[in-house]
Amino acid sequence: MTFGYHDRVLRVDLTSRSARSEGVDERTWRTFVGGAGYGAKVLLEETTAQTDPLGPDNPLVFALGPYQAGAAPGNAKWSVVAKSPLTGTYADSAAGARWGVGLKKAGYDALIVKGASKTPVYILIDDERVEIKDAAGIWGLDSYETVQAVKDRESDGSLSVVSIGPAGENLVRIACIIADGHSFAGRAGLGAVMGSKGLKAIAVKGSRSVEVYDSAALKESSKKRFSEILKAVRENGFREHGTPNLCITAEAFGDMPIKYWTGDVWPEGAARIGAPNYTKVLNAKPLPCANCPVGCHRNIEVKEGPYATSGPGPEYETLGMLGSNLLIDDPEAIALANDVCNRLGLDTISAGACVGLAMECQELGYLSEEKSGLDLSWGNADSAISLLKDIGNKRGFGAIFADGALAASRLIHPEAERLVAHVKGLDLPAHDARACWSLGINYATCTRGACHMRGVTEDVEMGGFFIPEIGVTKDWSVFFSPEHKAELAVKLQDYCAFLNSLVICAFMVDGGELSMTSLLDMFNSITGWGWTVDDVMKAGARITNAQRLVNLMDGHGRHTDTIPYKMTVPAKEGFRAGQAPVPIDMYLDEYYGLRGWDRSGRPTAECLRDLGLSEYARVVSGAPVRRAGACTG
Amino acid sequence: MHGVKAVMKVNVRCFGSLAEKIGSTVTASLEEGATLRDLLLSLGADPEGISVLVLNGRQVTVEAALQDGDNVMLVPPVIGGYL
Ligand code: SF4
Repeated sequence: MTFGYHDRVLRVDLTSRSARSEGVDERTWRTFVGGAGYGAKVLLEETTAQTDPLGPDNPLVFALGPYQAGAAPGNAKWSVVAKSPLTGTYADSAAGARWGVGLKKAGYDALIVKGASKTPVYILIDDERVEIKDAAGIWGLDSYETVQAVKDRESDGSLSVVSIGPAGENLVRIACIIADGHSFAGRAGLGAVMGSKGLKAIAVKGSRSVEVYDSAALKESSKKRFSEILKAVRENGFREHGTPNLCITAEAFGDMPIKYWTGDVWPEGAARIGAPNYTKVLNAKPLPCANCPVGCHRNIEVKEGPYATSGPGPEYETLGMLGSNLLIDDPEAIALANDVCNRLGLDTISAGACVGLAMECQELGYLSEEKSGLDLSWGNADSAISLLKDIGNKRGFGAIFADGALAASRLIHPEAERLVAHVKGLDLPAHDARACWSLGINYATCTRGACHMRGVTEDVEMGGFFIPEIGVTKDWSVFFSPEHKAELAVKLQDYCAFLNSLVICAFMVDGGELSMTSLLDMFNSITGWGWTVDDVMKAGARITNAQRLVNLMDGHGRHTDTIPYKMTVPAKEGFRAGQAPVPIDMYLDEYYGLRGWDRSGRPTAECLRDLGLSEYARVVSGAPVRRAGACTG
Repeated sequence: MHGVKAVMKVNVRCFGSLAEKIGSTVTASLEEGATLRDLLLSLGADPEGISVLVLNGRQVTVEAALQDGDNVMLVPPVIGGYL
């Protein structure tokens, strides 16, 4: 028995409509920890370059970690891992609410869904009881309605439910997975993977506890850390304003996307859509996941007017991608656009990229109003909302975005592809790599494509997040300098890989100021492993490398470790005026060197041996990975 | 005017929680030769609690000397977006 784990995962095959649990040994957990790490192991062992992300063989892995044992702050997070239909390779995304804790209580460390049902279904997991149930009458509902419909069908309001909306059902490759109607595993189109399996929802509850190494110590430190984090977020405004608190500062640093990355400054717009105006206009209040002292999610209400809406409000990313990115400065309009995406189950980041691309194409004459049927002038909120509805429902002109912005660009105009801001097919989030140069190398090498949360290096540069235990201090908060950027990306990618495998919400450490030492203390109380900072960083490096191996298997490498052209164009005004980041190739050599990879971006045999990943070395040589023992049942 | 130090004015833009405490834009009057540390103390802000100090578009430390008409950005710790 491994402290902090049930040592078993649940496998569901929707083709044969069967389920069984499978044992997992301590060695696996010590190697991959759980969450995103465990998902990478499954992908390495059970997929090939030929695995179709929307085919039945793509494993959809919902994975937890040791942190879900007990009630430590930020433990509501869970990871979902699969081959992405947007990038064609490894992707993980994370959400919270109550679902992960619910699955752990049901007695599992992960749920692996394979196969595909011919008719729509949902899965019910209640301790030993695992049922695959008919979703007729639920298929077609929006993501919020689905949660209630499943609870009603089961006559059980205590269930926690993940669902997809119509976008996932329609296999729109930017579809997300939604937990309890308010927390979103947004990126990389994993909602479409769920849709491809005919899986509308997964409802969980349970009554099983997990044994931890030192329960008294864990309880005491959890309580203490909860209070410390709460104090920190009350002082820094995070609790009161959530992520919208960042808008004004991000814009001032040139970090916010403006006019699909072609604008430089927009202070008056940022002041309108960001906090404190956001909090006032949208009547915003914290909407925390379980066991969360931060409560970054917002619950908002617009009582009347054309954009009347209520429920989960836009986060910073959404304000960026559906706001400043489109020059929409009305927080109420953005709130409704966000609600449309949430209900349809669209990733607001990639959805904003699609609308931004459409608007830019119209401006450049690549796309006529006649073709789109919309006036896609910058700032036209009604057209943006209309287009979002059509993208999610895969209808009319919106259907052109069904495979994401990059694929759509090729259908719109021969010159449009160069406008798309993406890495490996994943649209850039709302942070500009020209402002925070570490983002360039982080975006280029992040294993799921352009991602700010699998590194959060921008928060170090903007002076909000330091990890002295690994030498990331205030001295590294320097703009427009190439120094330390590659090293910062390596360290933070590895730490975040550990966090996403633990699984803990990154806002406990970034924003909540939970130190690595305190986190390690709780981790060791759970597992009893006595891990040190070095052990954590080595586990993080191992997980990152495992994910990279999946990328390599799928044909990625140095040639796709790039940043979009727009990220190389200096600003004409504002904080980053005249500044152009150092060419990404210069960072790549340094980054690969720090990782022990060769010049083509492949881990060397020595690197894999050091990390305990030698059994996967065949991926690097191009040979197929062992599938023996891989379970398809 | 022997013995009386000249006064200079500095334009200050504050962000995040600091903007709520001090105001998003302020004009501060300081004695000639003052540094950013003096400015922060005069505004009631903790000089060690500011993450990023920008003087006329360039990142500086609290020891940077100020001049009349300077533009200053004061940024407390901020966090990134999330999804
Ligand atoms: S900080 Fe936000 S995402 Fe993280 S657990 Fe709390 S409410 Fe959920």
